[in-house]
Amino acid sequence: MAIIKSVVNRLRHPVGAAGLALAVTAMAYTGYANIAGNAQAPSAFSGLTLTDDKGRDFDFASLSGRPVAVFFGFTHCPDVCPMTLHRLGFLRQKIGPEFDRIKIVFVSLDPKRDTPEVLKNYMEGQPVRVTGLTGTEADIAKMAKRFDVFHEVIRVPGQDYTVDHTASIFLVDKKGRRSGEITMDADESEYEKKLRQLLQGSTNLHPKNQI
Amino acid sequence: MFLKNAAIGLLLVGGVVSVPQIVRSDSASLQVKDAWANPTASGQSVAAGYFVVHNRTNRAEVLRGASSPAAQNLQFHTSSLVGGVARMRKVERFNIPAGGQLKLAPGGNHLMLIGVKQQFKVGETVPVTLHFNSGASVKVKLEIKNADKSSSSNGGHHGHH
Repeated sequence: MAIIKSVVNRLRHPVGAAGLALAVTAMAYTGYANIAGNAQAPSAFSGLTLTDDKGRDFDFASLSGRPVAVFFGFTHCPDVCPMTLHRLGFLRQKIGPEFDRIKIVFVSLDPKRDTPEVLKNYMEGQPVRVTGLTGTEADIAKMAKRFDVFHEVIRVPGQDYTVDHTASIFLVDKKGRRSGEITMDADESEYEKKLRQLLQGSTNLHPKNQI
Repeated sequence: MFLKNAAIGLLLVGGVVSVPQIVRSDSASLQVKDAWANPTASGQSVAAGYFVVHNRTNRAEVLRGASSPAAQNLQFHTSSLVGGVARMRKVERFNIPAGGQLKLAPGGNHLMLIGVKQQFKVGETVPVTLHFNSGASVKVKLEIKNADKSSSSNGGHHGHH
């Protein structure tokens, strides 16, 4: 239910929890499309500072004009993060060359271990082309907060630590507007539907775009 | 017997064509199939392994540990998704009911190889020995490959397309 809770936190208007649950279940952000259609809204990435996997300051402005899929993780995540990457790989096969118009961005939640070099090595073996970002803990926390991403370092006996984290993919349209989210438990048809909507320039905008 | 089990294995993976692992087993009644692991990046020190254990005995069995020359420390872990947040926790053992099976798959239960000594590359295999409470041990080879479409544990990607 934390998904719903986090969505509640994002909303500016009080909405009944039951109605909200239905809205989330139906993947319907459509009710917000009209009021969110303000071209003056700042980009979902404005004011963020991170380093890319080549060790350079990442130019978030370069994302403008392209549909973007952002997700958070860490390279020492052996189970969930590869699963997300492989699913994107399957969808790339299914959607075809058009898929590559989507800029895929992976934000590390483990800057201590994920140096630009580690990220670069990790991204090279993936089934889709991904830009890895890392940075200071404060800058990463700011990026995570922007997308309402939960993250917490957990000590593991016999292994340094792992990071619990929100495992959703966040979709941002070519105008920098939040336009959907794919949770880790989504099935392939939902992945495909939402990625195709992103490619087509979805009007199902996230309520945060009202800011 | 092996062919029959292979056929069952194929059914279990939802019709996806795969070559069953040739299992060298010290115990004829505990069978491990579809053993694999993701490739690792250069410098990556952890990897996850997956397999299915079939307990064809009439006694409940417990998978209590694993060892491998390819990693310093092997543990069992489980991933869960609660409210969109993925959490991974250590698990001491897995119970396998008599006549039942244990499935380790992405997004759920998995073998954690910690302190991986060499990069896992697609096409290679990694030897692992599984240790059971009854004293049985089963040697398996994890095939290094990228995930099959059907391999996640959450049911969302069990392809019948």
